[in-house]
Amino acid sequence: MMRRGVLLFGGVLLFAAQPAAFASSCESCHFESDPALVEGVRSSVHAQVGCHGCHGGNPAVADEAAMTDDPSFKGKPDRKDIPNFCGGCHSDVRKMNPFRLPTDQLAHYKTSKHGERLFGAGDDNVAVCADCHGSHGIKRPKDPASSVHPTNVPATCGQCHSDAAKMSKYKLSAAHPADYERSVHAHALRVRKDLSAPTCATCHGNHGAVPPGVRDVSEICGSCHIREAESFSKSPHAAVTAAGKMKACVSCHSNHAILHPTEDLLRTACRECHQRPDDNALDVRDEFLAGFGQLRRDLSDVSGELHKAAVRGFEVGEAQVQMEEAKTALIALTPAQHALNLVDLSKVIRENTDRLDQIRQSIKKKILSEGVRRLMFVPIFIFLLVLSIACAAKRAEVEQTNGRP
Amino acid sequence: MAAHNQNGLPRRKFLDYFLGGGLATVLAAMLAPVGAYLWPARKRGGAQDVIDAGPTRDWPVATAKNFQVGGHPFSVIRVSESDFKAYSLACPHLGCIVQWDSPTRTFKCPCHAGVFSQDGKVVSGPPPGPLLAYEVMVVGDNVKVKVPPV
Repeated sequence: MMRRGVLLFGGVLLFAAQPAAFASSCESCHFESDPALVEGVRSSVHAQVGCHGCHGGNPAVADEAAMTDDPSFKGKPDRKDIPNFCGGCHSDVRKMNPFRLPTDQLAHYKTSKHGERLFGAGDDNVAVCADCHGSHGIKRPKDPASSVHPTNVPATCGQCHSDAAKMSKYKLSAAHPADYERSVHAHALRVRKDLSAPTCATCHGNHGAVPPGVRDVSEICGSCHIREAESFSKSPHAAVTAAGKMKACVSCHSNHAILHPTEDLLRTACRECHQRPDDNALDVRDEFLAGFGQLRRDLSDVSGELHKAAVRGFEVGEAQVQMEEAKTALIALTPAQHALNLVDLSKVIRENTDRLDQIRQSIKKKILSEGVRRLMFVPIFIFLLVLSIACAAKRAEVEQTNGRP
Repeated sequence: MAAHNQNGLPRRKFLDYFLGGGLATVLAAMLAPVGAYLWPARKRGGAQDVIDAGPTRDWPVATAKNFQVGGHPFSVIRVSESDFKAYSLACPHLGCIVQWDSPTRTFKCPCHAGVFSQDGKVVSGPPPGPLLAYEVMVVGDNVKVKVPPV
């Protein structure tokens, strides 16, 4: 009886270790040597493609004959052949169209530094498809477990780009992934869970050298920071950038360790270039900073006063909307400052300082009217007091006359 | 002999009038809230309110009118002859006030160039989600907006 139980238990364990059913002779053989590989394929986006879809061979034939006797068998591709190996399907419009997938990844890859070095210099140390996407357990990019899911992209690129030994060969810094993790973009991705926050591929392209729609990586900031780019294009810096003497956004904001821009950035970054004593750029900066700071303080003060007024029960709806408008103007000043047009900036600052002043005055008026209304309690209390005295007098009178008329 | 005040009114009578009038005033002040409570309610109030935004003729198609409730600005737009929509004007990105752009039928954020369609959905830019939509009803010829609790 016990022997039967042990056999049954062993059978259950064996059953649990096996996949539900082998779809091909490839799976049945390779499961013995590498079960994770078979499970990886089964849970991957290519589960329906099957092993032979990429590697060829005849999955209907058992044993090694499935590979040796079939001319379509490709086996494991060399690293340098992987892009064309994957491109066999992923560049085929007929094959990809049903899945709504683009077919230009291989073409883009060839324009990238990775592709240029692989195909141009025969350097197979560069990243190929499998380095980023994996080989057998490939997931959809939207799957959080995918190595190319936005949250995983920095680590995926960092596999190589954090490796100082690998990067030194190409005269590249290995600090970029770590720098990125300190950036405002990584904060948005990790802390705010904003999957639209830029990762490596957003700026550098995922397959190509640059993302679609831009000529150079230096233009990429403007594809998200539209207002900043618009303002920058109107600034004196635009011509300096066009002349190749300035690196647009990167000159002030850096490229990977892009920190949250504060007023301190203006205080330090401008000095990097504007060092001559007769350079009035710093005066422009100081004037803007003074006005901007004043508006920010006014906004904070008025916000506090408005909150107190609301707590006291005053109707402050219109004033709150006005304050939101002023707040919007303050936020919009940050991108607008890139135009470096002090006249326009000062006008916006003045308009909104005046707007906040009006809010402050309206709150004062409400508080004053509340004081006046409180004063109205005085005659009411006097009336009640006199009424009480009259009651007492009446009582005394009734007692004195003892009920006589 | 009855005491007289300065106008010649007997003191007792003055006291009676004053007490009668005073007590009547106090009684009326006490009854006023009771009456207001018992009287049938004529307007809605409480957790959710309906705002009368005005007659439909005030909105040519593709135009917007802005309102505010409790300091929160919102806009009512006329999408078609029969369809009105209302959205909070606070951009879900950083809370800037978005503006309706009639020619393109979009809401645009002046801060970071976020663009929303007339359905409130993000068309482009950094906003992480759509504009907050309010329920709009057309009752007779009037546009009414159900606003959430403030």
